[in-house]
Amino acid sequence: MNSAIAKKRMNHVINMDIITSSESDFLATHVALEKIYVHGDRWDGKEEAVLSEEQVYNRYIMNHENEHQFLLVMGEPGTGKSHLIRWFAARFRQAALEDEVVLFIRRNDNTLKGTLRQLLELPEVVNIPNKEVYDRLVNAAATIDNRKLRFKIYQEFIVEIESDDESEILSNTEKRRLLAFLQDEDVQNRLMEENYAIDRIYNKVSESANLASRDVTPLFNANDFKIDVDFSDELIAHEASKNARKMADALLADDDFELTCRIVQYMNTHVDEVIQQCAGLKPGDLEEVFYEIRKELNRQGKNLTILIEDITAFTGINLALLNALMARHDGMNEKLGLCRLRSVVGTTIEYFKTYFKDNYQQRVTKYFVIPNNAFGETEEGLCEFVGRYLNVMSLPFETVDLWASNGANEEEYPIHETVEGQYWDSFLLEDGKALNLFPFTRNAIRNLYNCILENMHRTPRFLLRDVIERVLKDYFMNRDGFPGFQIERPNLIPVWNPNEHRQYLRRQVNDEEFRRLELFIRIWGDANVYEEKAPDANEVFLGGINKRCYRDLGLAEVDGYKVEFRASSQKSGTGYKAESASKTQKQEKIAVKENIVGQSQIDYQNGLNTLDVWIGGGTLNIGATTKDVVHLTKARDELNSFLYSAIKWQEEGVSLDNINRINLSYKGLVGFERQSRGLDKFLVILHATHETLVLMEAFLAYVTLGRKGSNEYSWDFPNAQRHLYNVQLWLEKNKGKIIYAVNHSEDDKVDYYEYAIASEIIRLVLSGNYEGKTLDGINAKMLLLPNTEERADNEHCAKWKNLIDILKKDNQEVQNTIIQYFNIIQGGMTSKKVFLRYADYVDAVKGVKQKRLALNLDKKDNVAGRRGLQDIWEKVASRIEAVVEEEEKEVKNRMKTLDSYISSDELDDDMVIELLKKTKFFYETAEKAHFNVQSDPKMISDVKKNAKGICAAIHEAKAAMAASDSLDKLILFSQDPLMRINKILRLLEKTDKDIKYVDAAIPKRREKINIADRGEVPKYAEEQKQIVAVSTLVADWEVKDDI
Amino acid sequence: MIFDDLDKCIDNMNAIKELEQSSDDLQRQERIENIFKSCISETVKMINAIQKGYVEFSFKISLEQKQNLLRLIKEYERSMNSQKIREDRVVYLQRECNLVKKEIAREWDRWYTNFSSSVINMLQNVKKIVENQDKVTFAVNKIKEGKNWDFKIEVLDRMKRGRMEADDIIRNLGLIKEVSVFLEKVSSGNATLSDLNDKVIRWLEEKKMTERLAISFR
Repeated sequence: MNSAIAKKRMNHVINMDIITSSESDFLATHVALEKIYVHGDRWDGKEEAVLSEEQVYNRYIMNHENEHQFLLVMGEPGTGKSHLIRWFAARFRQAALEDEVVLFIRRNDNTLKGTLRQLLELPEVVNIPNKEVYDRLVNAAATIDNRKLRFKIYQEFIVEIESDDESEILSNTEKRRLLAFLQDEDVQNRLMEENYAIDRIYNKVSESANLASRDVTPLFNANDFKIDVDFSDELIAHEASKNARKMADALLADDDFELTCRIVQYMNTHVDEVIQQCAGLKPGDLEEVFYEIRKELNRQGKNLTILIEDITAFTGINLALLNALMARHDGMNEKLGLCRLRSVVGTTIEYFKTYFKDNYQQRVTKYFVIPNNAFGETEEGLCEFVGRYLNVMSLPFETVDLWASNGANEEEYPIHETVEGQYWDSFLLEDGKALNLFPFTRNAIRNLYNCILENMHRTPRFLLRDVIERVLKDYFMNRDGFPGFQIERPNLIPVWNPNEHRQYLRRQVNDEEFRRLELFIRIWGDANVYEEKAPDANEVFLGGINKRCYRDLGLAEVDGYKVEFRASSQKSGTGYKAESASKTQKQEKIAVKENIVGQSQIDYQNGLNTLDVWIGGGTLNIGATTKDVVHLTKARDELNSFLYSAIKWQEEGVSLDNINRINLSYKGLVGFERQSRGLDKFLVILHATHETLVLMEAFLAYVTLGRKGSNEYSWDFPNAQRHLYNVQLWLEKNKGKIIYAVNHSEDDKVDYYEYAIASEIIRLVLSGNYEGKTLDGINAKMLLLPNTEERADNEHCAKWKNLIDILKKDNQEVQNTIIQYFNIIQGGMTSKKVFLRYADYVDAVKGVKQKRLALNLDKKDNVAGRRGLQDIWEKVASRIEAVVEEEEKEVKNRMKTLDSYISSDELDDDMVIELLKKTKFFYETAEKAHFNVQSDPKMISDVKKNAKGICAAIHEAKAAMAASDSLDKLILFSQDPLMRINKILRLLEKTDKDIKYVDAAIPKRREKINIADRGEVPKYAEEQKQIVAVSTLVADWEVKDDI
Repeated sequence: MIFDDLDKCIDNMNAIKELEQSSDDLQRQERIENIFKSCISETVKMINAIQKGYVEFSFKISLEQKQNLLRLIKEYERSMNSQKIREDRVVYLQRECNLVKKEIAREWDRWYTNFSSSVINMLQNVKKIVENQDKVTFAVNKIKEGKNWDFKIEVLDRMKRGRMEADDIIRNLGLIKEVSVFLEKVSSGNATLSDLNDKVIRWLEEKKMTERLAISFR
C-alpha cells in the first residue's frame, strides 16, 4: 500500500456510487462476477445457465441478433446489480459502436425528469419534433424545497383517498377513519419523519435526495402504521378527532396485522398517482418523449441501448416506463417507425414482485439473477476484491485513468508500488501480478468478513464500507492503536487455541498492547503464539504471521512458544518469498467458511476478555445476565461455593453458625473491586490484581471448559490441574484474610452471641423462671433449659409484660443462636442432638455476666444475620430501665397503700392470720346486724394460704426498691412480689370499703330508732276511770227475768 | 389502721343492733297495750249503750251476762294493774269481750222483737186512718233501726224518737179507751171477741176497719 496516496483516494475509490466517481477507478477495481444465474421464463425457476459476467455480456448483452431486448438484472440490495450494469455500460463505451446510442441512467439520476433530461440531451435527438416543448416540460417544474415536497406528497395521498370511491380493499367506514387518521397532525408528523413512507417516497421523487436514501422502496409498509399505547395516548391528549382515534385503536388492537396489511396495500395503490402529481409529469409524457426519440433515432439509422442502474427509483411512472421500454420496434409496432431498443434494467427482487405483473414478466427477455454470495463464496474472490481496491487506492488517479483510456486491458493492469507491507500477503492475479493486501492478511480478510458482516450483508457494498473502509480508517487515523476497531460479532473471532496461549501473551505486555496483539493474532493470524522459524530464511513467525509484520504495525515484541516450523500451515508475511511466486501459480480456491468454535471456548475467551477489561481499570458488570458476564458470574459463584466448602471453618475457630449467617446475608464471601453492582453484598473484596485474575481464570475455565450440563461443572478439561494448583495456592495465601473477615466486623471481633445470651438472661428473669436474687446466680445451663413460658397470672406492670412479648417474638432466633453458635457440627446439620463447645459457652455466659449485660450497641456489623441479634438486644436493653421504673412505681404505690392499712414493717404471718380473723368477725357481725356487706371467702382463703408468701413478697419488694442497679431490681422484682402483695391488698381494700359503708349506714339506722319517753304518766289512767264508772253501772243493773 | 377500724366498726355495729332490738320491743309492747286499750274502750261503749237501753227502754240483760260483764271488768282491772300486759292476755280479753258482746246482742234481739212488734203492729193497724201516713212510716223505720243493734247510742236515740212519734200518732187519733185497749190487743195478737163492744164496733165501722179484722181460732 501507499498510504500517502491511499488516504486521499480512499473515499473516492470506495464510494463508487457517487456521481463523480470515476469510471477508471470502477474498471480498475472491478472484480468479475463469475456466477450469474440466467433465467428465461421465470426468474425463480431452474436457471438456464450459470455464467460469468463476460459470458453474459458476450452472449446476451451484445445482442448480435439485433433484437428487441428487455433484460432484467435482479438481486438483493448490495449484491452488485448496479456494478454489473455499470460494467456493461463501460464495456459498451469501450466497444464504441457507431450505430448504437447508449444511455446509462445512474441511480443518482434515477428520476423521471433526470431520465428525460438525459434522453433529450443526447446529441442524436436535438432535432426531434417539439423538443422545446419537452425541454420546457422537463425544466419547468421548479424544484420544490424539501419540506414542501414532503407536505405535497402527504396531501396528495389525502386528496387521492378523498376522491377514491371505488376501493375494495377498505370499507367506507375504514376509509373515512383512515382519512381522519392521516389528517391528524401527530400522524402526519410521524409519517413524514425519516425512514417512514413519505420520506421514502420523497427520496425517490426529490432530485436532491442523496444516494443512500435512494436505495429504498418507496412504498408503505406495516411499520408505518405500527401504533403503540404512547402514540395512542398522544392522540387523545391532543384531542384527535373521534375517527382518528378509532383508527388508532383499531391499529393498536390489530395483533395479526390484518387491518394494517390492508391499509398498506390500499395506500400503495395510490403511490404512483401521488408521485406523478408531485413530479409534475405524467406517464404519458415519458412515453411520448420516448417514442419521439426512438423515431428520430430510427430515422438516423441508429439503435438505442438504455441501461438503468435501478428501476425502483421510477416509482410513480414505473408502469409507463416499462411500457415504453418493452415497446417493440417490430411486429405490430413496425409502422410506428421506432428504433430497436435494448434495455438492461436493475431491480430488487421485492420491487419485481410488486410491480412486474404477469403481462410484464412475459415480456422480459432474460433474467440475470445475482446470488447473495456471488462474490464472497471463495477466499480468493474476497482477496482479489480487497486487493484490487487496495491497489487502486494506492495508485494515482492519472495512472488508472490512463490505463482505462487505453482500453482497460487486464494485461496492462497497473500495480502500485508497495511502500508499506512488503512482506505482507498478496493476491496473485492470473498473470502473476501480486496485489499487496497490506494492512490485511488473507486470514484477516476472511475473519473480518465472517465476524463483521451478517449473512444478509455479505455483499460488496458492505464489504467495502464495513470492512475495508473501517480497517483503513483505523490504520490511517489510529496507527498506534491499530487494530483498535469494534467487531460486531466477537464470538466469531477465532478463539485462542490452545487457550493458555492467551495468558502466555498476557503476561508479557501491558493491557493496551495486549488488546492490539490479541485482535491482531486472532484475526490476522492463527490465534496462537507458536513461534516458528522458517528453516530456509531468517524469518520468524508468531501466530502464523511474520514478525516483520508485527514491527510494521509497531506492535510489541513478544516471545512465543518455540516450535518446529510447520510448512503445511498457512503463514502470513511470506512476502519475502515474493520473487518465487510463479505467474502460473494457481491459487487454491478455498471456500470461505466461518470458524466453528466450541461454545465453551467462545465463552471462556469472552470471559477472559471481560476480565482483561477489568484488570485494565474497567468495571466488572458481574451479576448481570448479559452473555459476556454470565459465565463470570457463575465463576464467581463457584469460587464462593468452593470457599465455603474448602475452608475447615470449625478448625479455624469459626462457628458454622457465623458462616451460615454470612451465607444468608451476603451473596458470597468474595467479590471484586469495581464490580458494577452488589459490592456491598460480599464480605471480602478482591482487588484487580494478577493474582485475582489467575484465580478467576481458573473458575471461569471450570464453568465454561468444564461444563458438563446445566449447572454441572467439573475439572475434567485440558490443563485443569494448572488451574487447580493456582486455586490452592491462592487459597493458602488468602485464607487467613477471609477467616479474619468472617470473624471480625470493622476490626472488632464478632460477638453477636453475647447479645443472644443477654437477651436470654433477661427473658429468663422476666418470665419469673429464675428464682435467684442476683445476676451471679444465673448459670449457663439455665439458658439451655426448654422454652418455659412466663407465668400467665403475673401482675407485673404493662411494660414488663410488653417486654416479655417482645422477647417472645425473637425467642426462637435467640435460643437458636446460642445453641448453634457453640454447636460442634459433626456430619449432617440437622441432628436433634447437639454437642456444644461447652467451655466456650460457659465462658461466654460468664463474660456477659461480668459485663453485667452492658454490651456495646455501637458496633456496626454488616452481616444482617448477626446484626439482627444486636438489634434484638438493643430493643430489650433500651427498655429495661423503663420496665424497672414502672414496676418499681407500681410496687411503691401498692406498698404505700398497704402501709395505709397496716404497717408493712410489722406484718408477719401471725399478723396476717390475726387480720383474717378480725375481718371474718367483722363480716359476721355485719351479717347479724343486718348490714349489706359480704365477705369474699376466696379472697380470704387466698390470703390465708399465701400468708408466708405475702410477707416474703413485702421483703422482696423492699429489697428491690432498695437496690441501686436496674438489673438487680429487675431480678428482685422477677418473682412478682406485687402479685402476692396484691392479694392482701385487695382484701384490705375491700374490707376498708365495707367498713366505710357500715360507718355511713349506722347513723341512718340510728335515726330510725324511736324510743319514746313516757315520763310519769300512768299507762291506763283514763281506762281505769272508765272501768270504774262502768263497773258501777253494771253492778246496778237489774237483770231480766228468765222465763 | 385497719385493725382499729375493724374494732371500732364492730363495736358500732353491736351497739346499733342492741338499740334496734330495744326499739323493736318497745314498739311491740305499745301495740299490745293499744289493743288492750281499745278492747276496754269497746267494752265501755257497749256498757254505756246497754245502760242507755236499760234506762230508756228498760232493756235488761240476763244475770249471766251481767256477771260475765262484771267478771270481764275485773279482768281488765287486774291487767291494768300489772306492769306489762302480755299479748296472749290481750288476746284472751278480746275474745271474752266478744263473747259477752255476742250474748248480749242475742238478748237484745229477743227483747227488741217484743218491743217493736206491738208498736209496729199498732202503727200498721192505724196507718190507714191517720192523716199523715208517712209519719207512721217514719216512726216505724226509726223503730226498726234497732233490729240489729251493735251497741251504738244513736240507734237507741232514733228508736226512742220513733216510739215517741208512734205514741203521738196514736194519741192524736183520739181513741177512746176501749178502742185503744182493743187495738193494743189486736197489735199484740191477744184480742178476742170478748174485747169487742159497741163502742169498739162503732169506732170500727166509723173508720171502716171492720173488713180489716179477721177472726180466727187460736
